[in-house]
Amino acid sequence: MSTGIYDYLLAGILVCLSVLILRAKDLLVGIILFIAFGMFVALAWVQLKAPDIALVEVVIGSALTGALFLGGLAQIESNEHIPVHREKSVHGIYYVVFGILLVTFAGWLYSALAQIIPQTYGLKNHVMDVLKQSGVGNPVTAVVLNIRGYDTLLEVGVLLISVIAIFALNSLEPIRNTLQNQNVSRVLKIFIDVLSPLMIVIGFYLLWIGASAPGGAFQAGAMLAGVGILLLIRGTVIPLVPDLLKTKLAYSIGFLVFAVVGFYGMLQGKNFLTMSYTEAKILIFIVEVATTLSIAATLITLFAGSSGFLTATKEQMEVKEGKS
Amino acid sequence: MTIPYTIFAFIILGTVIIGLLRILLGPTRADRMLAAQLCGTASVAIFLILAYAFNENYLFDMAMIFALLTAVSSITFVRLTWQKVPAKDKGRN
Repeated sequence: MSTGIYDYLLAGILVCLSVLILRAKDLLVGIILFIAFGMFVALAWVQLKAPDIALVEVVIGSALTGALFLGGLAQIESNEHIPVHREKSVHGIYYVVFGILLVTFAGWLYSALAQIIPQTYGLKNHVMDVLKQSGVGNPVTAVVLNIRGYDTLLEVGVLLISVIAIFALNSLEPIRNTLQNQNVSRVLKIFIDVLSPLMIVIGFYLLWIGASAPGGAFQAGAMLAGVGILLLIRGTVIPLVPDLLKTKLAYSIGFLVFAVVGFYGMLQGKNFLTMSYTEAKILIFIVEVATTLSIAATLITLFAGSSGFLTATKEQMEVKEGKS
Repeated sequence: MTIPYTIFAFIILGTVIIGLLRILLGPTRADRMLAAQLCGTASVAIFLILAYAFNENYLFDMAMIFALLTAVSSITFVRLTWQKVPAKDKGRN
C-alpha cells in the first residue's frame, strides 16, 4: 500500500476544494478553484485506472469549462445592471435536516454497493469478449461508437440542439469580433501563433489514436475548440453564425454522418447502428472525423455565446441603426 | 507505484496545497489565476511521474494535452476577465 498516503491526500484535497468552491464569495475565486478542482479530478481518475475519463476531464472539465466561465464572468461584470446575487446563510435547522438525510442516503448507498461489488465485475468481461468484432482496440471507443452507438448519436444530437439554443438567445446576424480592432500584445500574438498549429496536430493525433488508446472524437474536438477560442480571443473573425452552408454543415455533419452510418447498417439487413466486422473500423473512423468537426464547432459557439462574441455591442447597434 | 515515485508525487501535491492558499488569499486577481496555473504545471509534473511509475504511454499524452490546454483558460482570463476591470481598480482586484 505504498500509494495509500498519496491517495488520501488527493481525496482530502478534492473534498476541501468542493466545499471551498460552493462557499466562495467572489465568483472569480470560485471559478479558479473549479479549474484547479478539474485538474485534481483528472489525477483521481488516473489513480482509478480510468484514462479516457481523465482525458475528458482534462480537456472539458478543466480547460474549456474554465474558459467558458471566465468569459461568462466578464459578461456579467460588464453588464453592471445585472446584480450578482448570492443567497445569504440559511437557518441552522436546515443544515441539521439536510445532514441527517445525507448520512442516511450515504449509508443506504454504502449498503447497496457492498452487496453489488463482490458479486460482479461489471460488464468488463462481456466487452472484452466482443472487442475483437468491434473493429477498434480501445474498449471505451468500442462501447461508445459501436456497442452503444445509440447513446453517442443522441449526445451528438444534444450538441446540435445546444447550438440552436445559443442562436435562439443571440442575434442571427453576423457580428464583427469585438476584439478585432483592439491591440494585441506581441507576446500574446506570437504565443497563439505558435500554440495553435501544435494544438491542431495534437487534436488529430488524439482522433487517430482513439482507436487503440485513450483519445477519440470528443477529446480531439475539444482540442480544436481550444484553437478556436484562442483565435477568437486574438481578434480573428470566425464565421459562427449559421447563415452560410458551410457553417450549418459544420454544426450538423456529426449527427448526419452518424445517422447515415446507422441507416447503412439497416440497408444490409441488420439493426440500426449495427456495423459488420469487416467495415467497422473504417465506419467508426468516418463517424469520429465528422463528430470531431461538429463538437469543435459547437464548443467554440458555446464559448462565443457565453462570452458575448455573438451579442452586438452598443456601438455596433448604433452604427447599424444609423445605417437603416 | 514504487516508493520514490510516491514521494515525488506527494511533494509536488504539497506545493499545490500552498498554491491553493494563494488562490484563496489573493490579494489580486492575477495572483489567483497564476496560482491556478501552478496547479496546472504541478499536474503535468505528476502525470509525468505517474507515467514512469505505471509505465503507461497515455499518461505522457495527457501531460502534453494538459500543458497545451491550461494556456486557454489563462489567456481567456487575461483578455476578457482581467481587462474588463477599470484601470484604476487593477491594482486591487
